Amino acid sequence: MSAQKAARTVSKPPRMKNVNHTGYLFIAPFLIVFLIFNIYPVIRTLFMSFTSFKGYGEMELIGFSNYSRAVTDRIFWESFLNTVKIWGLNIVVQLGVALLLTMLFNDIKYRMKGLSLFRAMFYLPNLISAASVAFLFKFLLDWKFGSMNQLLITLGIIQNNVNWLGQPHTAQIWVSIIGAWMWFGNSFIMLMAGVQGIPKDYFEAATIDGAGRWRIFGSITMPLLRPIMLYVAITSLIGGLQIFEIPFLISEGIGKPDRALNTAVMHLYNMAFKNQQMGYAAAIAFVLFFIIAIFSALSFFLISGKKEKRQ
Amino acid sequence: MKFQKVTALILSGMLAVSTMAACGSSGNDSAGSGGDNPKAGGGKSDLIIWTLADDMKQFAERYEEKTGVKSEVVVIAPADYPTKLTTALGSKASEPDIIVGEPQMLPNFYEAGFFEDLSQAPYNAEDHRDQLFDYVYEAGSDDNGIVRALSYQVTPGSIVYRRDLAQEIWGTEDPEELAPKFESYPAMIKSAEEAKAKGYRLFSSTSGLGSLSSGGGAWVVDGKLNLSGSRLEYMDAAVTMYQNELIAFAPDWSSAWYASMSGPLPSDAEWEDDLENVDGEMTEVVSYVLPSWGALIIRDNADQNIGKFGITAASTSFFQGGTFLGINAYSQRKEAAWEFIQFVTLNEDTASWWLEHSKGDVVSLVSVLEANKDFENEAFGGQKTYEFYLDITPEIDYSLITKYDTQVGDIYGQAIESVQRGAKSKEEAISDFLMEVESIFPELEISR
Repeated sequence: MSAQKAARTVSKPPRMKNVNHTGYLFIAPFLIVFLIFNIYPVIRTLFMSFTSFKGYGEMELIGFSNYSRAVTDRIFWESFLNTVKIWGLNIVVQLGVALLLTMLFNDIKYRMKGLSLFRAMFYLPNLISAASVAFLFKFLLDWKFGSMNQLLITLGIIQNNVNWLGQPHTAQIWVSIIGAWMWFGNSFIMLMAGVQGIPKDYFEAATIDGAGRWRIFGSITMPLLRPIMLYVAITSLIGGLQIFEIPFLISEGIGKPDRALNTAVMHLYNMAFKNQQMGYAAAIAFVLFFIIAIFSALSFFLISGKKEKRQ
Repeated sequence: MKFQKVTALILSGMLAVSTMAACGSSGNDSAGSGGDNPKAGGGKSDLIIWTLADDMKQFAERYEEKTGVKSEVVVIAPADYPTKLTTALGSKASEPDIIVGEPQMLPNFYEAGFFEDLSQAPYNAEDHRDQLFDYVYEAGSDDNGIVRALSYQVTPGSIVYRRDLAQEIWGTEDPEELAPKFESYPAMIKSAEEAKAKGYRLFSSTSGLGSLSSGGGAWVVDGKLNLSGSRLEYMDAAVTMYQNELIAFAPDWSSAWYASMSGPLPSDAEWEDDLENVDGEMTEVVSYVLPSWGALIIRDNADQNIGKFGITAASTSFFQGGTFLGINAYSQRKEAAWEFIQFVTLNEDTASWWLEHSKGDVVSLVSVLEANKDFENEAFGGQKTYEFYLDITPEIDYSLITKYDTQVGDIYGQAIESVQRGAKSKEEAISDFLMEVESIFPELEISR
């Protein structure tokens, strides 16, 4: 029996000699789930984007009509612009606050204590469901009875109630702030991890050489944080351009006021599930996919390209 | 190490079991969280019904009493209903057996092939055409005239007003004398000013005015968007009433709206639930633009004002809502489903029972409504409301309804809201409205 086994092993082609097929069994569960729940929906959505599918009935192929419609759909581009505006302010606030806190917690002079506690506290908003956050802020920002107006009036900052969610610009600003509040803890953790990966010797040497706080931050912390910043920026871009839950819930699904909160993914959702235009919604999904891919590549080359130049 | 292995094994086992349990239940529980669990009732049911409101539960109980057939009624919120039904029947699910729809949802459901053809044998629904009001029959038929659904109710619209306040403002509470006060948008603005002069508000909000704007034709005529003069008048009237504070700023379905039926309310409560929190002038609402089922809302919320309401004609005939029942085209129990639908929509005993039981809902069987036309409605000061609806229902023109109405109407409502708030000029709002309609329905011809 063992002789037969040995003969079989010898008869295998040379390139298969060291292959252990048992490994495929181990990855099979993940691979099957991945193919069914990730790859198949993407391929089906791509196929659907070339049809006039309504969510029921047959899928009739219509070529690139949905894509050409998306290119000329002014409401889609308006919603994309809204998304960029909301994301733009969101990323500035989110990264700005996270960077400030990172500086504060890494400052040798301050020697801040309780990092673990603060890290957990900053991350907490991320754990609350988007629905709860949306309703919480809807109540806080209610223009007649909300606590925000009452607080600002008490502090003498405003004289009369402001309809924060009833005016296009303030509504967009607040959605950006809500996003930043939810995600700055996540960015903070990433940046802290990045800073803690920088050898302390650099900071000590710079301090001994008489470098100030800002000089250390600009010449040591920031350049060495670049890979982490790149990661945070790209993940935020990918997530930010898909912003949906908060504006959807705050604007009751219609993007009010004056469609200012109608984001690109909300437009997609409403096309698919409110207007029963699944084929067109699938095309919007792929247009968004390409835009996000291009933006991500641009961010990558801009940030990492500069780094290589400097090196 | 052993402990870790055992724990890992137990956790993996639990995960596997829960996954299988989730998969196992998906076949029949596709109604999801939107309503009661069809299998939660315990015993096996003979019929499963997906519906939009609780009233079907009462019909199901009555049906079980009369026939012994047990039904399970799953109530799904109207906003979620089209998506849930499309998801379930899009995959050709055989349950539910009976599905419903409101008129604005029906054209898409018919097109999707979800509703069984009731014109064919053994149903032969066309044999019952003369028993029902015309518009019910038309709403229940698809573009090819094939009957797909039937309704037990009609929902004609009217102006519901407070008799005592009308007497104080205009010196009369007679429905016929009051009809001219609501005969056109300019007349309504004048009436609103007269009401405000006495400290009242003609309407709770401007949303009801939209129901009266179909005078200029359907939203879509021959593939063209029809922004008629009547709809422009509606926009002007809504803006005037809003900006001149001729309404009570109590949106439909808000706490303030319900409260307005029973007595004074703060004139600017909007969506606030605790009305005691709201400062400002107190007022009362004189009238509401409501379909016939509005009588049930009045009945349930008027409190000490029961008996002080009246009904008069609106400036144009309209209807709103109504539950239409049909058979799931993929159901395995079509005969049983048809028996139930006949019991609910075509049975005179059931219709008479529902008239008495609901105390105000209006049934679609002409013979039963005629037999009860002398019924004096307590909530409306003894007015013969069924006689009133019997007269106005035949005037409803179903050709004014299109599959575009819900979305186009909603977008137009948002355009009006932006002008009301002063955020946009009328021209800007209309231009934006046309752009949004064009985005959603590129197949429509839109003239600017």
